[in-house]
Amino acid sequence: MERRRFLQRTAGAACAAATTGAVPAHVHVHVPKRHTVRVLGTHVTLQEPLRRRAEADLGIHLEFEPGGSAAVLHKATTRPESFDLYEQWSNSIDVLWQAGAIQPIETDRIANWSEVNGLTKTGRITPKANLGAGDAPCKLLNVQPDGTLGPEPTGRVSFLPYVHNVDSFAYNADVVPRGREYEEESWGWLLDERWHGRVALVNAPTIGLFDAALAVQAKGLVEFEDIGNMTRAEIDELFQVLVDLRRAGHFRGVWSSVPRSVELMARGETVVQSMFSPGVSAACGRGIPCVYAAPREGYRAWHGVMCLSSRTTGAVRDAAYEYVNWWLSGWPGAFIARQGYYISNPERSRPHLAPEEWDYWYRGLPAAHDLTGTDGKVSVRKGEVRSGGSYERRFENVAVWNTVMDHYEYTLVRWRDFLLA
Amino acid sequence: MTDPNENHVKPNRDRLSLRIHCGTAVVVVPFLVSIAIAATGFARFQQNVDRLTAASHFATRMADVERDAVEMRQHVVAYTHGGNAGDADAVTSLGNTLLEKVDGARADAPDDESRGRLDRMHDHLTTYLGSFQEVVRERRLREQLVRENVLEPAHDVTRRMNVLSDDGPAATGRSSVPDEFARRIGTYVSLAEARLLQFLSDPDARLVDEGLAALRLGIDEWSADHPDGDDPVLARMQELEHGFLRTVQATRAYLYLAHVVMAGEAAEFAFHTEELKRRAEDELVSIGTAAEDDGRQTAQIVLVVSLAAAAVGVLISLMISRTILRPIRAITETFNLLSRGEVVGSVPGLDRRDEIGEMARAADVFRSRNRETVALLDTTRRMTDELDGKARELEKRNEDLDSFAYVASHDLKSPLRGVACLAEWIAEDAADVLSEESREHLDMMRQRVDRMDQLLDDLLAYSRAGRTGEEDEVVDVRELLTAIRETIDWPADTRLHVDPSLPRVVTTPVELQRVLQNLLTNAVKYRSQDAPEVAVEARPVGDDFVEFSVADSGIGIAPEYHDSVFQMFRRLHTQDEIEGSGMGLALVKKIVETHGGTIRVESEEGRGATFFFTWPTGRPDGPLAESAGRPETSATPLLEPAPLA
Repeated sequence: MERRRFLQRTAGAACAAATTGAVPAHVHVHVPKRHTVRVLGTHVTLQEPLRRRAEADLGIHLEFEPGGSAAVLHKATTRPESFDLYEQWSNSIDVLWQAGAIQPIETDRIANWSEVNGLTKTGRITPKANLGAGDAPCKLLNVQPDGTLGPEPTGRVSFLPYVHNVDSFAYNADVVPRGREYEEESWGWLLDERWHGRVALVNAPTIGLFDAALAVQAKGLVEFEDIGNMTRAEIDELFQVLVDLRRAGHFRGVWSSVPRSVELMARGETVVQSMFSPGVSAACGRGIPCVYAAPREGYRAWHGVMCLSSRTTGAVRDAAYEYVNWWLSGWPGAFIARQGYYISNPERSRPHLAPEEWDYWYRGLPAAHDLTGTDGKVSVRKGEVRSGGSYERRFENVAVWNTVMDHYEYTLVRWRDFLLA
Repeated sequence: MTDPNENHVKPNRDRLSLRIHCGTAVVVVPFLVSIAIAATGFARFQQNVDRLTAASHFATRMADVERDAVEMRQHVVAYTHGGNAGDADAVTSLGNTLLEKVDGARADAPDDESRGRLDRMHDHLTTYLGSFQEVVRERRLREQLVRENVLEPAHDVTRRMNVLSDDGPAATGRSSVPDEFARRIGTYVSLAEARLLQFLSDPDARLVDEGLAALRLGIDEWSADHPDGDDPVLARMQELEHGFLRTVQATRAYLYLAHVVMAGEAAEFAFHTEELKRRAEDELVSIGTAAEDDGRQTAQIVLVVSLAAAAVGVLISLMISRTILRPIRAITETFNLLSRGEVVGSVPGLDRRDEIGEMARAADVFRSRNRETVALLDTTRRMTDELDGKARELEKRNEDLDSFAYVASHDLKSPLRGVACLAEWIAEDAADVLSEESREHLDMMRQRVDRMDQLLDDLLAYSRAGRTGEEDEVVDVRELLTAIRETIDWPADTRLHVDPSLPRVVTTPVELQRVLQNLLTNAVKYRSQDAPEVAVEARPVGDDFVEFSVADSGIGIAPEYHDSVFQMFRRLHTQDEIEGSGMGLALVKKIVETHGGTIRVESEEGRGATFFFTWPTGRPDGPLAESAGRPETSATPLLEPAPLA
């Protein structure tokens, strides 16, 4: 904001000088360079309204380069010089950190760091909440003195905690009978014989693998010692089940983008599948009674990370810090709340939301009236209740976090076996 | 009798022709429908053939795509394992070929669903090939990293450590590096190198951890032993660490691309290919089934429609027979009855409003006429019968009368002849004793007896007229006249003219002789004061008759008596004036009419009379023709003095 005001002031002064002729010709007016920050990430956060608003608020130039999760991760790990900020998921942190693609973020330079809630800092949204298997963000947040990532705060973090949510599977209520949240709805539905040939998974081993593992475990087919970090034998067992099911035609296939997931359900090719929140909203918007399940086994949670490229320095890094701070300034959190995502410092966004919006999105109360999304269209009908309930309740029921396991490479190989079975 | 106009109806209403046309249309339409159905069936068959060809072609394309896709994936697998550039080129080539085939198949896609799938296949393949290019880049990067940033620094460090351990501190100039330490550092580096190379062939994070841990241990120990930052061994080990990590990341990225992104795209590509193949095969089966169904259905429909058409045709025929032929037969029968003159009570179909009704009404007119005719015939027959009866009765009466007349005249003649004989005897025996007056009375009695005898002869002749019992013969009228002339008591001054061309006829000569004789007798009997002049002539009348004329110059007959002179006992003069029985002309008329002829008279009082009568020639070629063989007589009337006068 300071820069913005400065720019406004200097622009006004320059304009005044030009019109009045009061400034001598030999006097040079200093106009700060409008730095460009290149942001590599996914469509979840790299949205044009956010870019325009941030540019207007910060007076910087933003270049968004959205892409698929795998593609952007690959680019980030191999070409850190190609971006300044990286926006993706916490399960990419290990890879990025190990590759040296990102640098620590100084928490002192994050104005609202103290407002970041316990979910990221401690792993629990409430004291009674499940920590969740796998790499909870708190385990990856802090840069430890030895250069590793760990839970102990050090004033340096590997990522800015900001957007997060829980995922599960969705089902078409026209075909699949509705179940009660946290009681009947189960990951096991993904393997239900009744939906043979109409089941899909997300094509990402760090995500879809856990959907499949939760389903297999819910059906009692495989028991995992630690579902967040499976042994090689457990992986083999899991994929034996999955390969057999795929060969039997149980799975329609996999999807690699949200629009693909919506199309699968819209065309009736699937009735139960892994799904992301925007996909569920889009399907509902197309008239499909798409229900986002609240599985009794718990959610698969994910946490967005905003990382600073290891190659970004100087004024661009300063500009990047401004953008990082902007995300926790309130308005962006309110913006993404209307898309179903949570921000790590919710209270900062609350003033930017109508009470009815706050009640629906964060408190899990019925919508007092129709709520509009960020596109201006009605996204929530009056009386609707958010699947899974309030922010706290949803994050109290985390079964596993999206994680890059120790045998990640092996899961890639087996995942291929599954896909091409 | 029925008035035909009573049943007159509107001509265009319920016309039989309209019914026939409608019936024909009803019969023809099903056949046309049948033909149309057959044509439609053929068109659908042709469509099915076209669809079958297209579906077969499409299925072949899909099989070709699937085969190429499998081959491409095999090259991808080969490349990921061996890194052979030839495999990479093959993938690129096959991929581009596949794209062309997918796009080509899209042009032949049978429906939007298939086109949509092919579009998605195109997208999946594009992503797949793009990812493969990244795989190639990553693999090359990894090879470069391994070569330049892993093996080279690792070997350099190892070599340096070997030198240290072999040559001692002098080799590095540092006395603090013991041999054991150098070997340990070398071992760390070798272990890191070995684990990385193991990781490349069998990616496992534990190998990375072990390798990195060993390397970082070496770095830490070396750093502790060499606190100066500017150290070539440390720099090489740090370079090795960086290369190690970059190689690991490149491998992970390469694995992710190959095993997740590409495998995912390949799976979707294969799924859609399989789906399109299945759809094409289903389509083939469906088309085959549809073709069979269409053929069967068309055949059934054509059969049903044909049978229906036949049934309708039969029904129409029966209806036509019922509504047309049967009434026509009935009317025909009615006409037959009418033609036979039978009385028909009523004509069927009079109440119909069609052509049959018109026929019936026409027949009814005939029926009415026929009934009248029959009635008339009945009347005529009855009258004829009645007339025949009267004729027979009259003939009987005539016969009775003739018989009576014959009997009377014949039987009267005997006593009359006895009276005459007695009178003769009395005159002869008592001539002397009879007074003059008695003799006069006796003479008078003999005259009366003679007159009575003549009268009886005339009556007898009249009664026998036409029943002489003689056979017809050729009669030369002229010769007959000559014979007659001999029997007549001609006055001396009589002049007789005979037509020299008098014909010969075939007839009973006695009858013709009596006619001519009576007429000639009358000509001289009723003479005037002048010398009698008589002319006999003849002329043909038609082919069968000849008209004779007998003209005289006598006292004539007043016209008012021209008819009555032919009546029996009709006399214009008293007995005293002119003697006669009054039967002459009646007898002539009866004889002429008995022979089929006629008689008339032309006369004026005091100017003579001419009697004309016709007589049958007896031969069809006419009487005058017979004269040709006879010597011609003079055309001049023959005037001969009456030799008997």
